Amino acid sequence: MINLKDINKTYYNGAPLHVLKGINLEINAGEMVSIMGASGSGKSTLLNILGILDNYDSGEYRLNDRLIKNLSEREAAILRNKMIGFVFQSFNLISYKNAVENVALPLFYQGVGRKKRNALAEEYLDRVGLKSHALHFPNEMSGGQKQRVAIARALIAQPKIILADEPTGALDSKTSVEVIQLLREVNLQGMTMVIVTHEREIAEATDKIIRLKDGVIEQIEITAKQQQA
Amino acid sequence: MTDIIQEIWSTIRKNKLRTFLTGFSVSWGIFLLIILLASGNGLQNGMTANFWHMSSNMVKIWPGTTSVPYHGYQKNRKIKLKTDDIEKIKIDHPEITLHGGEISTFRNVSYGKNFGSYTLIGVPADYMKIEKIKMLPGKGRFINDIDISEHRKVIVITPRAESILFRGNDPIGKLLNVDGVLYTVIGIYDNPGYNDSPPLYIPFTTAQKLYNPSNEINALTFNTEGLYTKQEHEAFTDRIRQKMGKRHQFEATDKNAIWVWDTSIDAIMIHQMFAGIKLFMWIVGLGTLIAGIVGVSNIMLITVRERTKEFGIRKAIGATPWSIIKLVIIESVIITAIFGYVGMLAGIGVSEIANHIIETSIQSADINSGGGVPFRNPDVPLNIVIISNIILIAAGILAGYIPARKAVNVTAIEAMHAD
Repeated sequence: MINLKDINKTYYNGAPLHVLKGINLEINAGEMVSIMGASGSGKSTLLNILGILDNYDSGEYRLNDRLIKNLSEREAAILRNKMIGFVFQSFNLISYKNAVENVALPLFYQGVGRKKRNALAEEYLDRVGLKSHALHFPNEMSGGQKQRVAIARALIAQPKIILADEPTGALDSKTSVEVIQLLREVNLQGMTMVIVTHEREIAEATDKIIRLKDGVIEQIEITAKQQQA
Repeated sequence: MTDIIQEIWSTIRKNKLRTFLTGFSVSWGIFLLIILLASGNGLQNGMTANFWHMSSNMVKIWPGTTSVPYHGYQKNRKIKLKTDDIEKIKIDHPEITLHGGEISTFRNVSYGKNFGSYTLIGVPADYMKIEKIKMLPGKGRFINDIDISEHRKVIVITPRAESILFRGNDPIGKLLNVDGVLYTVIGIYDNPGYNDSPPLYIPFTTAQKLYNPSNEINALTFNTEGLYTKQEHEAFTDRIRQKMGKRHQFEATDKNAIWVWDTSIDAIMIHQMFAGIKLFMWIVGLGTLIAGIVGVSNIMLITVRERTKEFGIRKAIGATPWSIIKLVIIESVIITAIFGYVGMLAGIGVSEIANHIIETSIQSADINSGGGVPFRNPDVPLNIVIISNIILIAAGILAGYIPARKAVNVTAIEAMHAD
C-alpha cells in the first residue's frame, strides 16, 4: 500500500537541515503500524510526506501503486481527499460546524450533495458511537468524543490509509485506550493505518513499530501482540 | 453554490457586528456616490431648464457704437443694421442656416379696460425654430409664412400678458389694441422665465410696414451648422466682425461696434463646467467608496488570519487552492454587494424624495415663472445604476483578492500548527 524508496528531505531554513536521510519502507494493505522517535528524528516530516502535505527531494513514494511526486497543490489536494484520512492530536474540528457538518466536510470537496453527505456523515457518526451527538458543536464535546468525530471524518471519504498524528496526545489514559480500540476496529475492517506516537503503550497496540532516529529507520519491531497472532 | 453560501453565512453570523460595521462603510460609500452624481444631474438639469437657450446653436447680433476711429470716421459712431443685412450675412457665411432679423418697438397694448406696455418684436416665421420657442400646448400657433407674405396684423403673446390683459378669458382670436392698431391674438408661447419682460411677437413684414420707415433692424438672429468646438465658433464670430466691418465701416477688432452673442460658446463652456463638476463628484464619490472597500479588505484580512487554522484543516482534508480563494472572494463580494445595494437603494430613494419635493414646490409656485430654481430633477440615470453595480462586484472581488491570496498561501502543515 505504502512504498517508500530512499526518501530524502532537507529543509533550507538558514542552515540546511537534512531531516530524512534515505527512508525505505513498505507498509502493506491492512497493516496497522506506529512510528516512534524522539523529537527531531524526522517522524513528523515523514508523516507529512506520507500525507502529501509536504514534498520530498529525492526518492520515490508510491501510494496504492501511484507515484506521488511533483504534484501541483490542486492535484495534492484531490489525492489527499480521496486517499488519505487524517486524525490529529488537537482534533482539528471546525469550531462553528456541528459534528455532522464536520464529518461531511471531505464529501463537500468531492461535490457530494448536502443531503447525501449529511446522511452518510450520520452513518459514520453512528459507527464511532456518536449518533446522539450529531448536532453538537465541538465545544460541547469531550476530547474523546471530538477525536471520534475526527475519526469519522477521516473515514467518510473511504480513503486508502489513515494517518494519525499523536491521536491520543491530548487524551487521558482511559479515553486513549478507547480511541486506540476504535482505530483497531477500523483497521480490522481492512483499513491501512499509520500512527505517529511517543507513547509506548499506544505503539504496543499496533502490529509494527518503526523507530526513527536522526532521519533514518533505526529498527522495525514486530510487537508482541503481532507475534502471538 | 448554495453550499458555499451556507458556508459563508455561518462565518458571517459569527462576526455580526464586525461584518455590519464594515458593510456600513460600503453602504455609505455607494450612497454618497449616488447622491453626488444625482446632485450633479440635478444641478445640470436645473441650469439647463433656466438657460434652455444655451442648448441651441443660435447666434444674435446687435448693433453697437464704434470705440475706435475707422478710415476717417470718428469713434462713438452708431452702427446701424439694415434689412438687407439679413440676406447679405447669409451669403457671406455658408455656416448660417435659418436666419432673420428683429424689429423692436415699445407699445401700449390694451384689451377692454386692461392695458400694459410691451416690447413688440417683428420676426420671421423661422424665428420659432431659430430661437427654439415653444408654444403652450393647445394655445394656438406661431407666426407662419402666410402671416409674413400678407403682412397680417397678428400677435403671439406671453402667459403673463394673457393673465394681465385677458383675466382668464380665452385670448385666441381676440383683438388687441396696440396704440390704435388692432391685432388678432393667434397664440401664446411658453416663456421659461429667463426674461423678466418677455416680448410679444408680430410678423416681420407687418412691423416693417408699420413701425420701420428707416429699414433699420434691431438684431440679426440665425442658426449655424458645422461648427463644433469653441475655437471654431470664435473663429466664426471673428469672420462675422470682419465682413460686417467692411460693410458698415468699422474695425473688425472693435468689439463695441456690434455685439455678437454665439450661444454655442456659452453652451460649450457650461458643458465643460458640468463635465468638471461631474468628474469632481465621481472622484469624491469613488474615493469614499474606495475607503469602504479598503475597510472590507482589512476586515477580510483579519478574518482570514483568524481562520488560518481552519483553512489548514480544510486543505488537509482536500480543499483545493481555488476552493479556498472562491470561499474568501465570494464572502467579500456578498458583503459588498448586499451592503452596497442597501446604500444604492438609500441613495436612489433620497434623490427621488428630493426630486418629488422640488417638483411639487415648483408646481405650487407661480407656474408661469417656473424657472429660477437652480436644481431640478436630480434623477439617477440607469447607466449610473448599472455602473454602480459593476463597481460593487469589482470592489468585492478586489477587496477579497488580497486576503484570499493570503489564505491560500499558508500550507496545511503550518496552518494546523498555528493557534
